[in-house]
Amino acid sequence: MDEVKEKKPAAKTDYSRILSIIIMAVMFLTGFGFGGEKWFFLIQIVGIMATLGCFILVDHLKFSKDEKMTWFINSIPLIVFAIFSSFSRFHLSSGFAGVIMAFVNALGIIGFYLLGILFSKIKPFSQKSVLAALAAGIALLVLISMIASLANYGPFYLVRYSGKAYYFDGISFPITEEYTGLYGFSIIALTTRYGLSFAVILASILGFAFYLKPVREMGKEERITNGVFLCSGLIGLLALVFAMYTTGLIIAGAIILFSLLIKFIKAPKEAPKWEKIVLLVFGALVIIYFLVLTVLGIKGYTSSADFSNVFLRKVFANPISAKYLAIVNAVATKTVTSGVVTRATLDFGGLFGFGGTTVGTWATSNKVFEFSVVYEGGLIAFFALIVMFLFVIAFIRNYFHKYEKIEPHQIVAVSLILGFVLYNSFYGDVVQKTIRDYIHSQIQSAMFMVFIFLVGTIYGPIFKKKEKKPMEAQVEGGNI
Amino acid sequence: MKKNKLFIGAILSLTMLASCKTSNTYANNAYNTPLFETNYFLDCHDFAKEAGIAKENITLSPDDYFGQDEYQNEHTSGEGFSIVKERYPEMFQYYDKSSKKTVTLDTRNDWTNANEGTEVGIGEYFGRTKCLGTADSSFKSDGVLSKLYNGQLRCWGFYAQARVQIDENGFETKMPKTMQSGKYFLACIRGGSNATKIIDGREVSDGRFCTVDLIVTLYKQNAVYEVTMPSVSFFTDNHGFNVSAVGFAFDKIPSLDPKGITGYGVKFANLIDPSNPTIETDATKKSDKYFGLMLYEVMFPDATWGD
Repeated sequence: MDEVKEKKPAAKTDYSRILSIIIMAVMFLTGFGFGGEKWFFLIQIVGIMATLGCFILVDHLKFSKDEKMTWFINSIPLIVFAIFSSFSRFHLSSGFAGVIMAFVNALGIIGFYLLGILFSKIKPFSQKSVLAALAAGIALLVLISMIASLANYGPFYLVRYSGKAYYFDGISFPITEEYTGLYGFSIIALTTRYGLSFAVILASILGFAFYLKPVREMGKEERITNGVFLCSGLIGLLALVFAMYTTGLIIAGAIILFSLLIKFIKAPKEAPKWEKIVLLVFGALVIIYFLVLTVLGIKGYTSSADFSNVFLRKVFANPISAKYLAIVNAVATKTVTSGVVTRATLDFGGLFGFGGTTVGTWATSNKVFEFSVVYEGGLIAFFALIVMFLFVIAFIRNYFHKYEKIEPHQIVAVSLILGFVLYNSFYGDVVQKTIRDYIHSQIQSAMFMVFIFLVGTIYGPIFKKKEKKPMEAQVEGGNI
Repeated sequence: MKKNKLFIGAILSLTMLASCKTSNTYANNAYNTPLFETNYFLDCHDFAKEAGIAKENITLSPDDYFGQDEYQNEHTSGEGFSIVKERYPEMFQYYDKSSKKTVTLDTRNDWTNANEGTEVGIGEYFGRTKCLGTADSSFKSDGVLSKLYNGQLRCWGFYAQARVQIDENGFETKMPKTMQSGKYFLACIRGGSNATKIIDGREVSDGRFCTVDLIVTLYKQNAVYEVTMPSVSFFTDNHGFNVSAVGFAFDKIPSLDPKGITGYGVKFANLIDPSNPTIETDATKKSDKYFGLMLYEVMFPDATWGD
């Protein structure tokens, strides 16, 4: 009897340790893009089970009703996004398999978000460790792709072979439009934008080095995790330099510079009123802008030539808006014929994504990740994503005030988020391979799960049901 | 110091890695510009001269080679394979190992660029089933000439991406593999030019039949054969679908054992263009009207290949 009593606490600790290791492995494999588009759902399922495991098996993870409500309120945009982007016409069009995948993806988004929040609470490892595992996963992917590309094109190929093409099987392939990389379980020719996106995101973390303290003052875990961050960031940077991908270097450089700048910004822990107002006004303007643009898209405006009104032309006639208009026009309108008159009218199904069978160049040429959500998830998912981004801005602010000083791993987490959003907002590629490719889901992807996990990692509530100071002090990274 | 050397060594070895995809590069728009005269493939090796050996000239009689005359072309909707199918029906047979059945291959439909990365056409279309790229994958990586080895026998809307345009000097090239055994030579050709005609005040393509003596050079390590097929007729400037299958069986040339062939060339002479008797066939000479032979495919059906 005594023996049983003694064993029980040990078993609880083991669950925490086992779960932590599983989560680190899941994030390593997610960063690595294990299985590619076809098999990644297996990792998603393991992630979902790990989340459930945290709630069921870890005894000290108990939350009050108020804490749960705070979590729920602050996560509403993400939950709405998860549901609408997964159960959309676009994803459900593949029948039963589509329903299963939508279910896995919706749970995956919420599950990875919760994993980000919960990891540091379940102990024994801190947030640094899981971020290091994630960075190492991306680094391994980037390293393999870099070696394969060097073997195929040699160093600095984007500059050396500018304007050049090679032939294979009678087809001309412009060299600067491809990058050889690991995709699932095979090494294939990817588009440059997609293939190098991981290197850009990885190189962005190098700004963490500005926050390092002397090695002798670091603990063992810190030394290991910082070493992993440094090696990973350098691998990302090397991949960009070897390819001579200037766009990627500029984006990574801008994020590294941002990391340096915030070191010198002194902001109060509690956001002053003016800051909140600025964010609110900015958010409202962005939402109104896209709402008006949506109405214009439904009304049939697709290019600057359609804007006869000077005000409309000045505000809405730009290349980014033109992309959005074309997508809204294709997703949320249908042609109605009455008699001899044919006109475009609102298709309510557009709220739930693109329902047609074949996509046009409005989708294949789209490089804005957020706009791909319009046809993949629908207008509701798109606006939920915008609100989620506004929440993320506030989360980042709160996250940087979590400790006395900004820690290196915090820079890593935020840089990965910024790298993902910034790069994919301008250079996201829905067509990923150079040969016989089709539209790939930007949402049902490993990198998007990394982004969602990181949003959970930096989670710091904006709307609080009730202050729970004792709980916050009790657990590291605790904001619930 | 030792670590530094290792690091530098590692970097150097990375930078010196063989760049397999970039060993044979071209300008992005090579052979694919709006100017007809800039699209000629001019790679004029002369194997006989380079090897210092005399050519053996062989002129085939009309019964020894196959092509399409005007009548055949007009009455087969431009399919271009009627004579070769009549003479060598076995060339169009394919034994499907999976179904253990012999099937007759389709010569009207083709594999195209859009099917890259798939098995489309193998065991179904003549071109993709018996093309050099399918026979040995090393032909797929043979630069711009891989357009001639992929089994796309016609234009199918791919225009200059589907063909190689040659002048009277043509080209000679070494192949990535050596022929171990061979039965036939076959090329899919048509004529092309920048000559037009005026109808109702509008400048339009001048669809017509032209004739050339088609010369195929076959290169072996110690011998060069120049096989001439006189008066080969084909459509010119009349849609990229209308190709003619032209070639011969090796058994018609007793002096030529195909084993050991490592290179070939195609050129032409004695153009007869009824609409443009003075049209220029040499791309290096200045003119306002040029003629080019459009090669869509070069095949050695049922040949085997080795190193």
